[in-house]
Amino acid sequence: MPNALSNILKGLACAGVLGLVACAQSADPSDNLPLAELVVTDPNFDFATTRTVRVELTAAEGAAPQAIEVSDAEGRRLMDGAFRSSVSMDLKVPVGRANTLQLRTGQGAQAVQQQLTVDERGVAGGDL
Amino acid sequence: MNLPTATQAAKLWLLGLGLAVALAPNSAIAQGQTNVDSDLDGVNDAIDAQPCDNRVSARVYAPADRTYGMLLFEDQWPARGDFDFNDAVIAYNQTLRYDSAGQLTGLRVELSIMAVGARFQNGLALRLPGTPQSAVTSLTFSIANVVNSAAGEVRLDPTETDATIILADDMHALFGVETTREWVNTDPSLPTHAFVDMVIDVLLDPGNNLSAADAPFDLFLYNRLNGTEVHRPRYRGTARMDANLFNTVDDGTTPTRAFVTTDGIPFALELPELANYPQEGVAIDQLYANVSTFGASSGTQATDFYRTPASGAAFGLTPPRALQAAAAPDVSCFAPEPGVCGSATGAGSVNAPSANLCSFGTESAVSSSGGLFRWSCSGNYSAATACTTPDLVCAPNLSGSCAISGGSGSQTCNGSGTGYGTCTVTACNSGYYQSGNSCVAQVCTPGSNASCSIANGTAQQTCDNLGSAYGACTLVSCNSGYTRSGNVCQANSSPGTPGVPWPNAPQLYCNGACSWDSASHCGQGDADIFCRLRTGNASSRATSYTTGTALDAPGFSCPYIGTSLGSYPQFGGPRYNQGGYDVKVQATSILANHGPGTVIRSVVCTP
Repeated sequence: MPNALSNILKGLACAGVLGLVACAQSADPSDNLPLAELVVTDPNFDFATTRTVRVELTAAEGAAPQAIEVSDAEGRRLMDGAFRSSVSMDLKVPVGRANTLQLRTGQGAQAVQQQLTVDERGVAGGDL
Repeated sequence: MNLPTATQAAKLWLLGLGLAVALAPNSAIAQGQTNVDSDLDGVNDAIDAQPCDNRVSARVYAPADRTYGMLLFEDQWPARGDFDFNDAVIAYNQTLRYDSAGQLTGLRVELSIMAVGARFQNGLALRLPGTPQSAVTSLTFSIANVVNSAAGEVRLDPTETDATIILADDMHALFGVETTREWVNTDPSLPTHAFVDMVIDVLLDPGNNLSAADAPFDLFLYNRLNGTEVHRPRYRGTARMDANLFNTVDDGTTPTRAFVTTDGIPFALELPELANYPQEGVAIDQLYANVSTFGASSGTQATDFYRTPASGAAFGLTPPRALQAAAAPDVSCFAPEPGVCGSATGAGSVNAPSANLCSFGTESAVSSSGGLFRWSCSGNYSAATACTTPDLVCAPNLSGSCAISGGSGSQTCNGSGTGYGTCTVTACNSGYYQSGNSCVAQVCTPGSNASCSIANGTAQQTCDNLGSAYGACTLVSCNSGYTRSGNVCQANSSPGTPGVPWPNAPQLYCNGACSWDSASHCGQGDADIFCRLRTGNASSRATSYTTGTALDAPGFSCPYIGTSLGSYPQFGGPRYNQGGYDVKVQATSILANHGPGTVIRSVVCTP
């Protein structure tokens, strides 16, 4: 069966079974069909290879600013420096690698390393 | 690092006010002190990302510090292209700068334009969505490797509401191929081009709505000839594009995404790290087999499809230049403390100096070139100070050994250390002797004897004290039948043979009237006659002689006795007062018939 026709049928099946729930027309993503024959039906999917993760860092009232360094799961530094108070910052992280972040606070021997877990809303929180 | 010892006040020029404020010692950061806030932003220098800039205390990186992401474009919009996603290939890195209150105040955009696989005249621009042009307080840039410099004028587009920075009006022109419109770095059969590198610094008023998660923001292609633009799906076109082209031909723009085909395939693709890009005409799914899986799964599967390229489908190029460390702090508010060269400077050294290189600052490695050792001393907040000292051949006026063939020598360095004087012999090895300033192999052992050749006898020669040569060959003895005469051996002859010398004649009788010399005694004249008779040479003379009583042996006799040998006038005759007498010789004992009168004997003759 030609791939194009196969994909159309798969797409119709997808729509019939799932109603308005978005799905890609290729029911089996492992098919590796040619890109020219791919039909993306998820109206919100834009081929982004990154996603947004919000990091919420909470400082104690009156505490002095601290050095902050945020890295992704592969150790790539995403943010560094210091703020006067609590901060909420949106960062971009590669999809598939956005479940955890590393937060390092303080300097030298006093530095503290924390692993931040990204929740289902894409938010990771930590205390300064 | 050598830290400054003197307290030096630093000055912070508050932005826009030109107000100089005296601050604490500028060594605060180096010493790790935490109680100094040079830019007065509420964040101490030791942890401030930019301690001299009160607009910056923290940074956010996209995709990450010193890491490139990539944007790949198809430019046929609204028609589907060939999906090779190389009409423009751009590596990017952005550093977003935040003040201590968490407000975005600026960004640095670093781009490396790697490829232009397009035929269209495409421009490149960066739009900051939702940020009015008036929020941009400063725009500076640098650009490298541009062939047509007119193509690299970075500026704000005055016609746009959102701040839109035009990076290039014609991307081909950046590479100098605006006339031919040939592909740049996508066709392996064409020459490769150096990537065009751009660094753009933007200062923003605080309070803008830009989110770091949206970096690199709306970096897009535009074609002013046909009114098209190509953006990532999250962005709509600018006011200058022909919006009537949406949803024409193959465009499937919806309210939630733009610049996608009717099948939802984007015309611009972002990758969060450097990756390969397709050759000309090679669809990206031939390079990345899993890209369709990524798309079909709505981005839940094969999320790192760009990490597994197929061989042979990519255009092979080295990566872009390394990004500079964005973490380097701005220390412009600190008074510079240049490094100071140490006492090793200028003194000259045979070996690379390793001590006293810097009296202040951190020393670099020492190298040698142009007859100088070179290093630098890095102080604080200033360029490194260059230091040199002559690279000497030798230590001035010091002596050292040198090579002499067959011996050893010594040489002395000149006063400037630029070279040695003559290598002078100090000793010769055994078996060698000194001759001038050389050692020469000995030809014999000093003082030793060796035989040598003298006809009809034995002889020896003695080596001189140096061993350089033998002395004269000296007769030791004559063979049987020969008699020594000086340093030669002469054949013996029988006495009484007229005209034949008698070299070994033992005596000449010269007593009283028998003398050839005088009437009263034997003298030099008799000895000379004796030599002439012994040698047969009329010129021979006696160099020494002795007198004594007659020997009981043959000899030249008194003229009154013996056998006549003739007058021998050529030998000096006639005798004294005996003119006319012949030379007489007898083979019998002179003593027997002459009595014990005086004779010449033991004569030494010249040849």
